Formats: sequence, C-alpha cells, structure tokens
Amino acid sequence: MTSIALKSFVGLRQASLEKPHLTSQAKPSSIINPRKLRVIASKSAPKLTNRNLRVAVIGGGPAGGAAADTLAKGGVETYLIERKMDNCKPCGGAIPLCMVGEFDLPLDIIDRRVTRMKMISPSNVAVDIGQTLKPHEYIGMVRREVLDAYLRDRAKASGAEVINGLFLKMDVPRDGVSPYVLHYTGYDGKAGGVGEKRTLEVDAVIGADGANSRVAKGIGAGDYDYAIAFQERIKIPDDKMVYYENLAEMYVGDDVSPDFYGWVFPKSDHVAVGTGTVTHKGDIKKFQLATRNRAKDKILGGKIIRVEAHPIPEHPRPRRLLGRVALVGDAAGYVTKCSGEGIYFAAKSGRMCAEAIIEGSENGKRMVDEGDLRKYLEKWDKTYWPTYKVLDVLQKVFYRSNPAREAFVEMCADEYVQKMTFDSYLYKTVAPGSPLQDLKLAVNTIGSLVRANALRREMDKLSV
Amino acid sequence: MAEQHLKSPLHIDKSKNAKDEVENGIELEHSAPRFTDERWKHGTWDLNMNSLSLAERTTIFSETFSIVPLILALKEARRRKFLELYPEASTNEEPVLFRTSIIPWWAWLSRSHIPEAELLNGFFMAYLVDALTGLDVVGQTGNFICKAGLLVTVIGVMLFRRTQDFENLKRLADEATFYDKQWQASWQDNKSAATGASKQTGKNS
Repeated sequence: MTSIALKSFVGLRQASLEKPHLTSQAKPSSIINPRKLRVIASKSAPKLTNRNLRVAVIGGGPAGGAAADTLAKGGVETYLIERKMDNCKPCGGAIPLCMVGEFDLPLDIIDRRVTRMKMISPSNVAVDIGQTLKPHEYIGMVRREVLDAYLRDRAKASGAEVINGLFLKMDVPRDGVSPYVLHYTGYDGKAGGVGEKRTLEVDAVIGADGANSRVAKGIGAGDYDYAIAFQERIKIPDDKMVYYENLAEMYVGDDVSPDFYGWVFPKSDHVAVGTGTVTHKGDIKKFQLATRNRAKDKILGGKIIRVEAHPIPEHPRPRRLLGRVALVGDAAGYVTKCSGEGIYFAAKSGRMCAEAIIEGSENGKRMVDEGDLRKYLEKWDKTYWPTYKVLDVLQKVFYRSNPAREAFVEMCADEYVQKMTFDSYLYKTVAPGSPLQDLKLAVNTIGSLVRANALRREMDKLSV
Repeated sequence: MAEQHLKSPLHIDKSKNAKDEVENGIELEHSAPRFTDERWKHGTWDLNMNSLSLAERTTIFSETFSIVPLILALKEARRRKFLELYPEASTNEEPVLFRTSIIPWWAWLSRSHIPEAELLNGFFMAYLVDALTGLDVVGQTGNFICKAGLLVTVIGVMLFRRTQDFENLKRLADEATFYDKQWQASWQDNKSAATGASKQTGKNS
C-alpha cells in the first residue's frame, strides 16, 4: 500500500534523516517535557536600583523594529543596532492583512494590494484563486526598505536608541546579574565606511539579525537547513504591468524548483520573478531561467534592474534561547514551509519576546532571567505550532513530485480550499471548517492525487 | 492484454520565434517545440465522441467501457510528458483549462493493477464461497474475538507483505515527525543551558 501512496521522499535533506545538531549534547533521545522545567520566578530576581533594564536588539528588520518598539514602550532602556539603514533586503515582500492591523501600519507603505493569485501547474493548468476574498481583504506587497525604516523610526519615537553599527560579538556574563558586553563597529554616518569599535553593556539581548545571525553563533544556537531564494526584479512594459496590477503568480514544477515554487510578485512599478530551493542550490540559475521561461509571454520586453538572493531558514535553530539572549525572526528560523512566509512571524516573534521581557522585568524594574525569556518560546510554540505543522504537511504532500503538484493546483480550484487557505493566511489562525466540507475535501484531495499518479504511470510508459 | 500506444506523431509547431532575440536583458531562448494534438483545443481536451480519427481508431484497447475517455487520459499523459521535457510558457491567450476529473474513474480500470486489491478480492471471494457453500471454515472459530483476529491478521499481512513495507512505514513515521523534533530541540537542552554559560563562543559549526 505504501508503495502506491508515497514513494521515498528525498525531501529537504540530501542525506538520510539526521537528528538536529546540538552543539552541546544533552540526553539525546528523551524529549524533556517543558512543564518540568525549573523556572526561576522573576519575582525573586533582584530589583534594579537607579536604572531600568537595558536590552539590546541586534538587527533592525521587522523583528528588531517590532521588538525595540515594544520594549521602549514598556519602559525598558532599548538599543537597536542595525548595520545598514537603507538596506533593501531581498524579499518577496508579502504581508498578511492581519499585520496591518496588529502593527498599526500606515496604508501608504503598502505598494500594492494583491487580491488574486494564479497557481500554475507543471503542465500549465492555471487556476485563479481569490474569488472568495471579501472587498476589504488583500495581501499587502511592501518594499522592505520602506517597511523596515518605518518600524525602526517608530521604535525611535517610542524611546529606543537606534545605533548604526555592525554587531561583532558579545561577552557572556558568568552569573545572572552581570551585563552582556556587546562589541560592535559604530558608523557615524559621516565617517564614510570604516567606523570605530565600540562596546555596549546590556542586561539582555534579542537577536533579530536574520538568517546569518551572529547572535545565534554567539550562543551556539546551531545550524538549520535553509533554502536559497533567488530573485530578479524586472521592469516590464506598462501594458504588461496591468496584468499584474493586483495579481501574483505561483509556478510549480520540477523545472522551476524541486522543492519550492517560482513566483512573479508585483512590486511598486516592476515585478519580482524568482524561485528557490533547498536541495539543489547549485541549479538555482537553471531554475530561475525556467521560471522566466514559464512567464515568458507575460514579461516579454522586460528589463532586469536588479538581481538578488538570500538564504531562507527551513526550520528553527536547535537552540533559540540561552541565558538572557533570545532569537527572533529569521535568526530563530521562523519561516513557514510551503509558502516561505517570514515577515509577519518575524515581527510577531519580536513583539512576543519583548513582551515577555517586559512582563518578567515588571516594566523594566527588575532583572530578567532565562525563565522569563523562555515564556516567550512557550507562548510562541503554543500559538503558532499548528500553523507551521499544517504548512509542513502540505509541503510534504504536494511539493514532492509533479503529479502531486498537479493535484495541488487542481485542489486550489475548489472554493472551500480557497476560503480556508486565505482565512488562515490572512488572519494567521488555523480555522476549523465544517466537518462535512473537510471530509469532502479529503476525498477530493485523494482523488486528485490518485488521478495525477495514474497519469504519471502512463507518462512513464511513454517515450515522446 | 494487447495494447498499443497511440501512434499519432507529435506535431511540432515551429512557426513562432524561430530566431534568437535579445531584448534588454530578457533573452528569448531558442524556441522549444510546442505541444499540439488534434484534440487539444483551447486549453482542454475535446470530448466529442463522433470523430475518432484514424490514428485513434487504430489504437487497440481491451476491457474498456468506452474508448474516448481513456484515449484522452493517455493523450493527457503524453502532453504532460512533453511539457516535462520542453516546458512551455503559460500564456493568458491560451489558458489550460483541463481538469483530470473529466476523465471518469472507470476509464482507468484497465490500466491499473494493485496487488493489494487482488488480495482483498481473493479474501472476500473465499469468505463468500465459504459462507454460501456452508463449509463454514470461518465459522469453526465460533468466537467473535477469533474472527476479529482473523481480519486483523489478513489486514496485517496485506500491509506488511514485505519486510520493505516495515522500512517504508518506519521511514514515513520518521518523516512525519521530523519537523516536530526540530521544533522541540529548543526544549531538549535546557539542562545543558545551566552550564552553557561557560560553553559559549566557539561551539558553533
């Protein structure tokens, strides 16, 4: 039976399954129940005299900006260290509707509102999704340099000190009260490049410095599998741009990516065409060419104005927290499978971590300890684990082969699927639908998969 | 079963863009052949049963209830195979509207062969014969638990027919829970966290 249902899945690792790497090995096979953790209540932690709690946020992206803003508002002495204030982070740039409300984003930082998506299968079966969206619902497309700057400026306005500097390393204290000493290169803006080495003493650190996080290295957080996302920004003629007015496309297929998807996302006045992969990073240029080829007619006459690439984490690092240092956003590895969404989760985790620090320190009046920060991990895992798991299952089932992708695109034509997908994406809740519809959906999914695999068996018999 | 694959030759359409064009950085790659078929119209397959072409009529099938849906299935397989080798641009002018659900399920019966289904059929036939002829071999057990045990054994034998199935299922279980383990990793090392302060830098990979 298993031979029909599932061939061996190479999946997201090149070799066979390995246990996640821990730099300092604990008991390898037992999973310790978090409820048995010895949590030192912060109420017994020393009260700070003559000063508030000092926290440094390393990295000024969505995670860092949200964390710094929340900390500053909560009465904590906050430092936000960002290496490049005008950084145009390579990114799809899509944010869900709920982020606008939850983070009070002004509508003018949203370049476009995507209200339709087109899913295109390996055999070019094209399905329009978005009919179930209500008039006020959309996916916001932003430029990262605009969003990041807005969040940083707001943190500054709330009282955080924003430092233009490159974090180098930190000295870890030996006890629970001594400060962390951060070493960074400070750029004064006018210095023009070299900068000067400075230090900063803080009581806690939030690592929001992205996929290549140095803070993560500093706490021995371990590595994660990551995808390479490659993207070309293409300026296409105005008449072609009309088609992408409020539409984004997703291409699936072995030609485009063996384990991810190719995309055409509309930006302010151009489109971003890209693809990604975990297992075949060496072939990324080939996949990009194939993506451009699939969208060829629609981007004809376009001019490439920028080429960019960036790693995307596939799962959380083995260690996200040590002492009074916590990781958030991409540094922690909070990118979903299947869709590769990261911005919202970065901002939300930054905020959640900051809230845990504020609560543990009673608005900056007391020292915090690891137990306080661990509350953020607990809350995070409890709130978003279902979302991450569902997307993982979807990726495993539907991205594994061309027949599966064909079935996936076919399923997307179903209105119930569209409604469930958009509801969970836009509002970040795994909403339970009606059981009858779910059953029908399950039956249809199996039907699609079976049909697609039957076609695959016929294809294998053919030689074209 | 005597079967022959569809013999109609693939039509390769080279009328468009036979030359390289370089346009401001977007190169039109040398145009790959496009998929064509007499029945592939407007992005889907033509179900019209009255006009089987000569090529289609020379194809021989057995055990089919109706030829055309199965022909369509095989043609769609061919189209997909073609596109795997020569991926085409997705255009708005000729969108692909085909859905596999228009091919009825019974069209696939002659083409598929599931060993487990054979076993199931065999088992139920034997059960039926046993009951009808009154031999009542099954009834010998005379006990509900034993009957249940018999069913469980049969199902178990079907699922775990080969040792390889054990491996497959084990791999499947590992696969399904791998992501969970990655998420729980942060909770596993809390014991070493207390001593972790002295093991900070230089321990990364």
